Amino acid sequence: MRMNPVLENEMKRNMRSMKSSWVVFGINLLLTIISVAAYFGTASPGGYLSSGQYRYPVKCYMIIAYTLFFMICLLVPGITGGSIAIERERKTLDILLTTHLSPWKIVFGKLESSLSMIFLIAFSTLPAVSLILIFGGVSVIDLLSLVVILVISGIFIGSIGIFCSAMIRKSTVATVVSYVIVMMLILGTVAVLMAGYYFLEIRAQQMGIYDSVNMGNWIYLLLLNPLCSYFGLLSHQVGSGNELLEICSYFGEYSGSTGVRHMLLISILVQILLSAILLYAAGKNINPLRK
Amino acid sequence: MLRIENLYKKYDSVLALDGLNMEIHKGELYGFVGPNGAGKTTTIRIVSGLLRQTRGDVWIDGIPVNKDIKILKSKIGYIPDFFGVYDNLTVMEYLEFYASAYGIYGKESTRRANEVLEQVELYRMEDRFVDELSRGMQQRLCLARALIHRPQLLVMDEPASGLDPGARKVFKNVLRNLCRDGYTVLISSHILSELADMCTNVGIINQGKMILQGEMEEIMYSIDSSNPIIITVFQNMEQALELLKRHPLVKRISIDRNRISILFSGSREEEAFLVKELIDAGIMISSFTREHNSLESVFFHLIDPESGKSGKSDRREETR
Repeated sequence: MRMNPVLENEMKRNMRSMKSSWVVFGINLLLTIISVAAYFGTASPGGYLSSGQYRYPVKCYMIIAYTLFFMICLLVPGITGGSIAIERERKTLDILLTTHLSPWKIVFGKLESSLSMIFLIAFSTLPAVSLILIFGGVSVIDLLSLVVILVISGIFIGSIGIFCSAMIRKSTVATVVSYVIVMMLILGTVAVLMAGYYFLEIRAQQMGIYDSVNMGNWIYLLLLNPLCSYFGLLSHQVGSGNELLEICSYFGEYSGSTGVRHMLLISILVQILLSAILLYAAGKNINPLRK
Repeated sequence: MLRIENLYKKYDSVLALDGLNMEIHKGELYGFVGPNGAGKTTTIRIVSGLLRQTRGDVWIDGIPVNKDIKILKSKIGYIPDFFGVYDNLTVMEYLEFYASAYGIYGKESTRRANEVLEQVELYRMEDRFVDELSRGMQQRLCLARALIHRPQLLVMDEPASGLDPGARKVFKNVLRNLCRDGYTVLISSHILSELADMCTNVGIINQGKMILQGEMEEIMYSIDSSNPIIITVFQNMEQALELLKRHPLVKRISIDRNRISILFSGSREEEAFLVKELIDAGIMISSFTREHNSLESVFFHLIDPESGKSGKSDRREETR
């Protein structure tokens, strides 16, 4: 099977620039500093191999995993947010559209190019993250599933960036809007739930109702939050697996809710579905002959 | 090669194309001229499959443009007015990328890239980075890119804008050679003198309508025919003036030393008879030429550049 020409072109150009090397180096350096600082900061009193200290490497693993996630949230909108808008600005999009490449192939090429960056980052940090295997607590399958969920989050965030890039003509505006949307999904969904919860709680107190407040179906806003699925996976790997349900229970009684109990799986599916819709819409938007 | 019939394009309330008709035959180098906002770019984008028309038909090599877009894309090489290039790519990689976008890979794409580099006279440039090339070279590279899939029709939207005279000259030569090789070229430009030099045919568009089109020579003659004839008299000036004053088709005479300028309303044959009459009368003339118009003057003759309105109707009133 032939590689998508857009992906090949982007990879060739990206890998030639020093920017990519510096990004990979910077992330690995940051992760090393964070993990060393976290490890010695928490483990030093008792020594890292003394009995009862096995939770420290796991904590390091979590810190590394979250750092990786936030790096992707920071990098992917920057890469994808302007991808199509830049092509449009320098008029190469028109040229691409007169070739045999379909609008969707162009869109997928751009997404694949941002994913290649995620793979590069994820795999370059694997040796550091794999150190955890020496101490135990996390299996190889866990590490691979971490990469998988990082890629899924990357696809979702990348699709948002590409969608914005296809809809907004100016690359800078498209990039800013992509960051705003990603921020809204990660922080905004939680903020909406918290604000709603406190509003309902105050209203219930004013009405003299002292039953626990329930946010109802608003809890499913978390399905759109890539951090939620990431948190769910990590809780399964290094926690009890119920942490996500416990967080949801702050906003009401959800122990009987199938949707909340399977939030990890459902949120992954929702994000994949939304990614597909966003990419389709982006492809349709750049199609010059759309009806 | 390209036929456009009754083409309309409406953007919201603005009518960009108003029943445009156009025909370009194989091997022609067709200059597409018009003021800003006349509809040139809209036409070019419809022909290139980058825009859908509101109404009307466009055929390329007998195939309607909206029918089989993939086949049509194989037949067209499109060059926009601004040639954006990718950084961090060599000339060869740039061409191979576009070759792969047309489904041409491996040795064949390298072979084609070398072939088109030769066609556009970019020799020994394959390893140079694209963003290091001069503007003129980048433009020729853009042309090479448009040729990589061996299209039949090259569509260029103001390709020479921003080039220095030297680069324009090379570009013009390359285009002439391509037409000689059998390519059909549609080129829009506002540098009319450039088009006059190289185009075999010309179409003048204004307010979405084709107001004049045909072979360059024919058009120039049709406009020239209303120009004065300049006769340079070597001997017998008085006799020449007398003869011309008596001639029924001579409308106005003005004299500048040994040059007589006349407004002559006859045909080409009657022009020839006038020359004969002058010679038979023993008048020695050293030249007899009709003043030539440039494409620019044709353009201004037809279009009022200030308002962008067609000047054709005004011309008719003067004639009346």
